[in-house]
Amino acid sequence: MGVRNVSAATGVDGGARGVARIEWSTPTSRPRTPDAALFQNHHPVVTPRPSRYDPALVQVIVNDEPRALPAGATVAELIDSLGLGPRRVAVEVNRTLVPRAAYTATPLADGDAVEIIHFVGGG
Amino acid sequence: MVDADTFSLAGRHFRSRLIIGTGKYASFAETRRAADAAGVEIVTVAVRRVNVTDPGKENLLDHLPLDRFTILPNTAGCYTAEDAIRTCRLAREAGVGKLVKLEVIGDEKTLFPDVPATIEAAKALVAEGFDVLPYVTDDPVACKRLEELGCAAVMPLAAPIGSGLGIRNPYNLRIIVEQSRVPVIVDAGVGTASHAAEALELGCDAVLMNTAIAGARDPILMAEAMRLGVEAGRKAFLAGRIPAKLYATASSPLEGLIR
Repeated sequence: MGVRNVSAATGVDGGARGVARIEWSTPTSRPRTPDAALFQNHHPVVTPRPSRYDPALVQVIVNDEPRALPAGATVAELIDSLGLGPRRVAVEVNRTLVPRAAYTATPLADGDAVEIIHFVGGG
Repeated sequence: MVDADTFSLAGRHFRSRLIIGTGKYASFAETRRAADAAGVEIVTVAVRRVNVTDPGKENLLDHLPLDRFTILPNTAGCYTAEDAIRTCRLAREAGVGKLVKLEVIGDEKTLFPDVPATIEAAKALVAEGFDVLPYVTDDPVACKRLEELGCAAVMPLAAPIGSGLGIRNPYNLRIIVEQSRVPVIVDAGVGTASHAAEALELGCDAVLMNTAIAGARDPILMAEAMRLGVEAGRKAFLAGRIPAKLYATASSPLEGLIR
């Protein structure tokens, strides 16, 4: 399975030697499907799903993208789950600025619109 | 004592009179190399949404440590006072200080500022304790109003943002320099080192640029050129140039000519 013979009908040296052998790398243990690539940098945040069917989740909008969080999740938990803990970011919930000191005391509710900003290159 | 020649902005003293933007560079590493080559102490940054599906491993500020650089967040892309104020509040909450570059754009094509909206936003931000550096047209009256309402500096443009046209109205800039008691920072429109030198020769306190460096074929070399241009312009200003005259004045003595 690691090596496959390929007829070199279109290969440049196909005429003289008849068959060219192409070396394929041995499959790694991790399946390299598109799904696996998507989840390589996975976050503890689960895939969005209508939360009214699951009381354990709340559905919020983060920077215009829907996202489901465990019920009772705070701004601090959202920031941590995105790996943004040590970064200089700022957060608004429903257009109200949330001071960094209040992250752990600010739970997110169903339908909350969260805005998270950071600094990028600009003049 | 040119070595001690600093300019003060919002109560802090800076040796470098060059401020650079951090946009349009090929990488964060190149941004940092340009900042080092330019010898700057202040860099501008933009406030944007985090990409929550891919926050990325690196961040601009990883390369611009706060103990080395003063971070000047801008309100680029804001077309209303409300958006600009909101952006400034977010920037301050992100923890880089209370200095902000206020720009409220009035026209998409020229990126000229909306002066009434800039004044409105500046008033609100000053009241909230921000040190406001407003990007404004090279209009002495607009600059006067912004100074009177408490801005920490005024930042008249030399030419449209990113145009590289250089100083289009040196006479207005001279008037702004003469009337202002806050620093005058030329912001936008510089294309090359002689433009930066000219701004300082006119008596401006500093110059702010981004595209002129980041868009050069060799940004690091241009960053160094801009540093030297700013230094040359400042020294020429301090030295006091000769008045311009229409006709020649001989520089060699007339006595002792051979007969």
